[in-house]
Amino acid sequence: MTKDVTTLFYRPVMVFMGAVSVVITVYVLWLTMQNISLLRPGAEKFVGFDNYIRLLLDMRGLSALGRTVMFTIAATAIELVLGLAIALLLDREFAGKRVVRALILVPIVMTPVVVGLTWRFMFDPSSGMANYLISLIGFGPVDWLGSPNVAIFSLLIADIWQWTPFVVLLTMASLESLPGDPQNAARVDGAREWQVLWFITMPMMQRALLIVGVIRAIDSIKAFDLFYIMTRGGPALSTETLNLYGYIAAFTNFDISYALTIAMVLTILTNVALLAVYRLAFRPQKSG
Amino acid sequence: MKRRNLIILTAVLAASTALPAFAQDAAKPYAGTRLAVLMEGHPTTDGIQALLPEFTAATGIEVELEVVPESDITAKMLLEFSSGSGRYDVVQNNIIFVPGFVKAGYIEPLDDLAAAAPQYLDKADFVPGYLNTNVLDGKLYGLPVYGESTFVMYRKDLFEQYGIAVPKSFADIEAAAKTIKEKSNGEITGITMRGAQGIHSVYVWAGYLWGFGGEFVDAAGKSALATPEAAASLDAFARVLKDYGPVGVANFGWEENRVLFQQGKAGITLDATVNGAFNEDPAVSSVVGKVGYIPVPVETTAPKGGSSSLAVHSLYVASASANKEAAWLFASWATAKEQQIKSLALAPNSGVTSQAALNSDEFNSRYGAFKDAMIASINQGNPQYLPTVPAANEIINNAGIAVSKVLAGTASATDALAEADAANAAALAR
Amino acid sequence: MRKIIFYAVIIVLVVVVLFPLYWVFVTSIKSIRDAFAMPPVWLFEATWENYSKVLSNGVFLRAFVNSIIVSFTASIIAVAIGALAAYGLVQQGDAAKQSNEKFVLSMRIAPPLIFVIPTYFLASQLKLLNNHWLLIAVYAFINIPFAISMLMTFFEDIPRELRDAAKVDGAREFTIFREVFLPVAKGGIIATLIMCVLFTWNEFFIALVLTGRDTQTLPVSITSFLTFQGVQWGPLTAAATLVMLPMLVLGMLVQGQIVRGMSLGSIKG
Repeated sequence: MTKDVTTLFYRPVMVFMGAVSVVITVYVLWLTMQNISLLRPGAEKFVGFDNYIRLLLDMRGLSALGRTVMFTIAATAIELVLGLAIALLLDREFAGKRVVRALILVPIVMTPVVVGLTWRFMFDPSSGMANYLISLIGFGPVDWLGSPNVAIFSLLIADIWQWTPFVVLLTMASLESLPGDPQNAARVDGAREWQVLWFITMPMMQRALLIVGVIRAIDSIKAFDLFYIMTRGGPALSTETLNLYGYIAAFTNFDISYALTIAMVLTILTNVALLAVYRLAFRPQKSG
Repeated sequence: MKRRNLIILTAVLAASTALPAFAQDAAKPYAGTRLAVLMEGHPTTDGIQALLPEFTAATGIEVELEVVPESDITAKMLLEFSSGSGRYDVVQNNIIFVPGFVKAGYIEPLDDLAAAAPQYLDKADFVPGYLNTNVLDGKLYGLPVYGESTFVMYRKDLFEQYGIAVPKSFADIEAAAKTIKEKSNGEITGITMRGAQGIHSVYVWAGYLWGFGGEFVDAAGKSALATPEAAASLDAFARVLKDYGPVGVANFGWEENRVLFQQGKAGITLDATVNGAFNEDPAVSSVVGKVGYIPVPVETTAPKGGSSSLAVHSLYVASASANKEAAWLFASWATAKEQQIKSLALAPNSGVTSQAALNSDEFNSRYGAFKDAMIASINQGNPQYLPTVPAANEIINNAGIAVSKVLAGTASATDALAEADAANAAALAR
Repeated sequence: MRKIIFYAVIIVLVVVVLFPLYWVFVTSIKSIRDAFAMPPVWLFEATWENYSKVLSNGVFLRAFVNSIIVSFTASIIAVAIGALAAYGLVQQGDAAKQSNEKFVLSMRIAPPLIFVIPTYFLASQLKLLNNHWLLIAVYAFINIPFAISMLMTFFEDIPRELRDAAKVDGAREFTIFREVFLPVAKGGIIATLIMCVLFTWNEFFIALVLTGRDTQTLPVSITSFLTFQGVQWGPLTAAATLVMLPMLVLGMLVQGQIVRGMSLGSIKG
């Protein structure tokens, strides 16, 4: 009886959200099966799956997809490892802990557009801070955003700077919520600190880290602001992700249907990847 | 000049206050109309914005001005145009989009509107090259707000010091860049140009392309980038930047390039004529009076078009506008010489399109150092400098990738251009 | 010795974390010459000229007002709806909760590109472009799943006994929601609201496409300092500082809860 009443509190919301999502998806699907261009109003026609085939054969799109995968894996992995390390470092009582924790929040709160601009200026080859700092330790100027071999890593640095704190804060929170008994018991038994960390703390953190990783991975796939502000995909396409390519298809080439096709494929692929991660990661744990 | 404006203004004010009800209807048929205008973030826009109250006082038309960055403006207006909502009455854009807009029926021919309300229009006062780019199939579509061409800027003092002759070809430029870099022991960069992927590098490289006898699209409307001329031009452009250019040039936009040159850190640059204004401004430049200005060279005896650009940004009246007459009044008022002269003092800009403004004392005292070279460049400016077909943006984007790849050394000019050519051919066929 | 190394590491960490913010602020109070000087000028005469320039810029002030209207209205709507849904969901079994978690994550996947274009076409048919309600609706919609999951973590902390006691007294569900849950979870609700505001305030892509002259929000407005003729770093950094200041203050106020909220409620389970 109570169940029935309480479902009224969320069912309508879920149904509404789901319905809107379905409507948008169907509408987008329909748009991707035409050849809508903003430069040819009134000349749209149904083209079936042509746009999907075009993307399948589009080298630029495929390499953008590959770049997206690489960027996502690199960003997520580095942010997780670095974030975990910093969280473990801070996981003790020390003077100023609260202040440090508050300050770490700053990058997350900063407006991404501003973050992009700031890093773009710091990476400026002649008047930027980055080259000034490395010149102090005797290195020559690095072409941070102008070299196709380096630019993606410069973006990675900016992304890591902004989002590692997110991992740190979440990991700290879950470290604090862990029961301390197993670790202490192990210490009493003579286990070394690294053993405690590796065999006891880490397994307990697994799920939390996985969730953080999934969130970061999803956001990295969709990363836009930093790319748009810092390089817009250049130089030599070396920083063009699939999401950015979709944007360029829509707002530089005005090829609306193709842009939506790219966005659609990106969404589907992300969903598939996410499902795979869910299966791999959560199945064994549930049974265990 | 100022006095005359004052008289006009006083007269207008007097007319509007002294004879309210009676005069209003006759002189201000569109009083109360609200116009939505979309313009680029640019000094000329600031000038027009500051002068808007005068327009409202004279016509009773209220103008709501939306200003967005130049890089986003086309997408913004195209989304709007394609939805047919008629939200914008007047828009500003680059000439390269005009054929596409006309073909799609997005913008209105102005001849009839001009005939009905010619009070602000003085066709003969516009720089002819600027106005003519807005004429399509004999019809006038837009009025130029600002324009520019490109030229080569070089450091007279350095050229003299190292005994370099004024360059007459791209090969001369390369040799001069080499000399400057070597003789200054690398202290001064030989040459700087924009290398950033996209419109930036394409805008400058296009000078090389035309100068070497290449073109984007041939007379039959087919993509023409996969030619030996184009490859030679891209090779030359990338080589001179890689060998004698600055660190980071592959991500240099207009700003980075301009700053490096005006700080005295580079010997030569090829860029827009407006850069002259920054070189000669003591507040930001350390090379005032040391810069020579010469036309963009040609390397072949049979170029298919001039190697100097002609970039014109104009006001257009939207076909979907419900207030075309008022929109025309605004467009013709905003580009009229009186406003251009006033805005030279409000928000200085060397891109004015009015000859009266170009010949004003204000202009001469500010921009005299490069004025002659600028006008020479404009007069030989190539209206087809960037492709003016509906798919222009996509063609520029594809060409920009090729330029960027060659500059970065990830592909040869021939291969990169073949790829761009194929993509452009597909875009032209769509 | 270990302690010294520890604190040295902490200091390096804090410097790295704060440097860009410091740089934005410092550039905003430098003259143009100082800002571009290399090597950097560490001591300089501060100027507030950029701030007076920005604060007298009508477009920027309007964007500030727009950002406040849009982000707070959208967030309040999202939190109100989210609270109702979260209340219903915490009464359910694990299966329902888990499917909600997946739903929330799947809502997060779609790149904005996929829905801004259809939304634009729809809004132009309905003549809703250049209207605050369009943005409010879109942002509220995006924030709802997030608000639900964040609020669930706070509601789950409320002891069952409180609810059951009210139930015994014969209170109706909505009364329990209003009289018991809302007051007890007040802190969490405010934190959720601030998180939603923060997200909306900083959002760029959707705003880039869907805002018009009257509705332009701050992140879009900031890009107007990137003009065709270069970046106006002085006014830009001054504007950026003003944009970030309120969010920094709000963020600090609720930093404890934010951590929990951002975990989407999943970490505890």
